[in-house]
Amino acid sequence: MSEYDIRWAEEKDIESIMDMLHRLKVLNSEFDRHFSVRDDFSSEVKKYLKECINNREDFLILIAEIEDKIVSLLKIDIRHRIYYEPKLEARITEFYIMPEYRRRSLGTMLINEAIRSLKQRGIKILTTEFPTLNLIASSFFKDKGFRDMISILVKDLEE
Amino acid sequence: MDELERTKLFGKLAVKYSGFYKGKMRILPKVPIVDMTDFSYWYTPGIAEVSKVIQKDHDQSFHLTGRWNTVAIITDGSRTLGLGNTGPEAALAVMEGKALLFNFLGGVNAVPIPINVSTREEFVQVSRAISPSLGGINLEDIESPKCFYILRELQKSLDIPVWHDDQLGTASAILAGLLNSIKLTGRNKTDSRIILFGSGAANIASAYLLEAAGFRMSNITMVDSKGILEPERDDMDKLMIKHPWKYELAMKTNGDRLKGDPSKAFKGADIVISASKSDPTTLKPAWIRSMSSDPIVFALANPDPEIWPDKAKEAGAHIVATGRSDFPNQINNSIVFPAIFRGVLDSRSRGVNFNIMVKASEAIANYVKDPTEEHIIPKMSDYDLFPIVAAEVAYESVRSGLARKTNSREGFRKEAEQIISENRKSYEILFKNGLIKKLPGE
Repeated sequence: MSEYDIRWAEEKDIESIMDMLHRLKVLNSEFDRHFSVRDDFSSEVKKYLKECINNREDFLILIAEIEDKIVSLLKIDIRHRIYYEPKLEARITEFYIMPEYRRRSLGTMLINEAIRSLKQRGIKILTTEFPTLNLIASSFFKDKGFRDMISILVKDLEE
Repeated sequence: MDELERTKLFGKLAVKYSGFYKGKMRILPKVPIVDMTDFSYWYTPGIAEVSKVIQKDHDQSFHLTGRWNTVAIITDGSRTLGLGNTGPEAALAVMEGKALLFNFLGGVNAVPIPINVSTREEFVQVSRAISPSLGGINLEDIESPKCFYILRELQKSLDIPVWHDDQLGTASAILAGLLNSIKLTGRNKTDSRIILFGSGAANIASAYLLEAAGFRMSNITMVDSKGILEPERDDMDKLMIKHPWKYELAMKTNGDRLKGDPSKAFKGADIVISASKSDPTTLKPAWIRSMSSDPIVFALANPDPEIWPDKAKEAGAHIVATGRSDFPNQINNSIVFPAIFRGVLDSRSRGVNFNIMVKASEAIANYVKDPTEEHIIPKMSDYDLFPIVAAEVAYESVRSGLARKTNSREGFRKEAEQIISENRKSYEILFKNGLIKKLPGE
């Protein structure tokens, strides 16, 4: 039996999730200056997270707990595609594991649990997004069978 | 004359003498040349046969050329002494000084090679490219964390020992001093609680070396400018990307998961090894007072230690070591690298590892027959130390399967002694005969 308890996030988890999200976004800022974290990060994010947690139709937010401590977060947005088949796409938008709990297969367990839940809903494709220069994330997802599908490029309009 | 005035004077003399001698090292033949026919075997046509032998078996280059005793001191000048990024040309003068120590203390032919490179990958590529002429590589004065990457990649890809003295040399000297210190204060390795204050190259290497020597990683607490290193500190993800070596230690050390300011790490700790800021107010006497009884304090920053020895003693320190020669217990890598290289070169070792370093540190510690609180470690002028340590290093290379050449421990010691003493005699003859001129005076 796993030492982790993996479950859907609830409103009571918001503070821990916010902390992990902030860490994730600060990490992203290391890869591109357009990911610098806003000073008023918490106010809007808290409201947004509450909405997501209570909208299980469009969002799947899983957390992993060990001894009542939340140590990981996986947030998936369900996207409705108007041009393509299949119509529904699940996109991993946030994925974070507290440093001490990495390299213990926790990431794999969370992804597997999400896939199980998505399959039950008949969702056929799972995508993921992260900064291009995050090679650790790239290697993690490619190991899990993900492949390149779309590119996002940026051009600065102001010098 | 105060410390500042002395440093100024030495600086003035260094510039004057450097101009007078125009370089500190030179290359001289070591084979007889009576007339030009001698070149028929030292060079063409005979030498082609030597090339053919080596072409068939590259290891013969250690037997038929001077490779066995040649070390490159490679730097990009990105962190020259305490001067910062001086560039490779300015680093050359320092590397020549290092080559002089290599030669005088260890009988090693060390060649200073500052290189002009812009990336760490390029540094690795250049070092690898010149490795066929080398018995070993000594990396020097490279900024952190680039130095960790370069050392790891070169050690992984080359079959000669690669050493970064700022990491490994300092760590070995620290361990040697620490072994006698714990003996004197009745401590053991497994229970000693250690603070590594400052998490630069030397202390990061020290953490791994201490573990290899039998100390427990969970009993080590690392402290840097942001406080105690621990897995939940908010810069952990940045470290994972930019400094995975420090990140790794954040996971492995600090078993009690202490957080916050340094004072918390000191409470009840037995040992502090500080390789941090050259400022005598860095380590607070109150922190020392909060340590366990008879604590061990290594304040190793140069020129000024992180706390003056008398202040540390007043605060209860039983043993104090610094990086300076004018206080007792100088922790200095110059007692390590000439012997380490003498040993790995004499065994034609394919590498160097933490086990070899532990043996070297133990031999250095054991050299001090009756250690006291004011004498925990030998001095650079203890010339007979070097062959003894070299023999332990060579013997451990054999034991760990890295050596291309075997010998007994005593055999290695005699060989090292002979190489070092013959080298020094050659030098003395040149000096006595005026071929090395006396200092021109101040």
